[in-house]
Amino acid sequence: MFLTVDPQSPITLYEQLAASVRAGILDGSIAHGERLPSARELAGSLDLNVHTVLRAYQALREEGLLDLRRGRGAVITAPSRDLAEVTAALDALIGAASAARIGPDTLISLVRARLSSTQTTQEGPR
Amino acid sequence: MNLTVTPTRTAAQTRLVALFALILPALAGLAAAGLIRTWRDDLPAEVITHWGLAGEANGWSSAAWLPVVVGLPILGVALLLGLLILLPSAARGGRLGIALLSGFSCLFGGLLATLLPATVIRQRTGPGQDDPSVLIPFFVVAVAWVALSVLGAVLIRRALPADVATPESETNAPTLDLPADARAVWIASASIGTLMRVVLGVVLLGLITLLAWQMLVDSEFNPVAAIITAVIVVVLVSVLSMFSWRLRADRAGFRAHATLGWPRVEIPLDEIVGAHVVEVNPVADFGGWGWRVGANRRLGIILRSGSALEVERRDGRRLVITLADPQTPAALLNTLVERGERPASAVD
Repeated sequence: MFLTVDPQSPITLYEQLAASVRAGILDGSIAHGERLPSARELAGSLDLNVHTVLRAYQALREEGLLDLRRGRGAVITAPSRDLAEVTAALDALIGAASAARIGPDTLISLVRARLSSTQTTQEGPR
Repeated sequence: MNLTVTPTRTAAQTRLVALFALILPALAGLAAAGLIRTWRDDLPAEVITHWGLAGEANGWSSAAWLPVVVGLPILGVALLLGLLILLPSAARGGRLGIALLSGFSCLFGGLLATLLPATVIRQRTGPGQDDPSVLIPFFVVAVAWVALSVLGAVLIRRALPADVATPESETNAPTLDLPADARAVWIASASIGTLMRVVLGVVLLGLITLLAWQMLVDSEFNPVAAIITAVIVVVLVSVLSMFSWRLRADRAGFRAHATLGWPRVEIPLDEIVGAHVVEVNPVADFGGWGWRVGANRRLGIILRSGSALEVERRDGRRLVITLADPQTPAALLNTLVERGERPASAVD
């Protein structure tokens, strides 16, 4: 798995880390049943506070992507899904956005706004 | 991609390798078979060919077939190893690898060819059958054969042309498009493929069954059996621990830890010159699988054939690990090394 965070980004570090894990799950580089390193190890590698990593793990757990158990560590629980349709829709969305000259930040805000209006349940702590 | 280019061998060099890797061990096998054949008139109809841990006989073979039973495995191993070494692809292993493998082939055939007749000769009937001194010639031949094998390895290493590292190994050094301040880590586990796991599992199960059976048959405590069991268990655990690894590349450098905790390699970032993507042929480049030493100061964690990550140290040593995707860790390491080399003021 390849995980990355950028302190220069406006997005908080824990969200970036969680997004990095999510991206890995989606592109298949992080498999179902794979164990994430301990929060302390990952914090050392990425020069982060342990609490930042734990917060990211907690967020992933609340999304049902991670199983956190004492003694077993953090294990990915994301059975592989067929994402062909989602990927195609994303490609179309990105194409349409660039045709309409909408920048990435604006696009993401649009997607967020749409998600929060369609979802009645809370998806996780902000 | 070839890491080393060994110039084409001359006919004389090929003959030298063939002599030690194939011809000598094969001749030893034939000699052992021929020797046993000359004993056929004073051997019992059934000859003991296997003993249990406590020294009790538990395997017999017909005396008429004994030359074949002894000769065929020796010839087979000599043929297999000899061809493996003589194949053109083996030239990539570098001269040290070829020399060591040739010496091993010679040694293995010769020792089997002395050990097996030595276990048979005491079973001959007739005069002198209880005379342990008949074993002395076998001992002498075995010692001489060890010396011969070592000599062969040395001769081959001298005769073969030196390995030439190609600049090609420097070209395949990917980098990553990482923002200046971004931090990244690559973590993976590496282990042997399913087929190898099944083969190892079967071998392991067989050994455990054998050990358990031997222990149950010798119900009283047998110190020899206990020592052999302990040695086998230690060897098995250390072999097994070399087949599953936890790998990490980050700002601290590169590290590979066996899942059982040992062995472990850690290379600090400031000791790394660069990382490359290379192709590995386990037998030709490293003489097999597991924790391996190859030519050109390469240390290998060899779990499969195909693509591998090569981490090059400042002192010229290289660590090679076979991986499905060596691109990502190689790119990350190169990017981090490059970043470390840049003067601090140049980092914006």
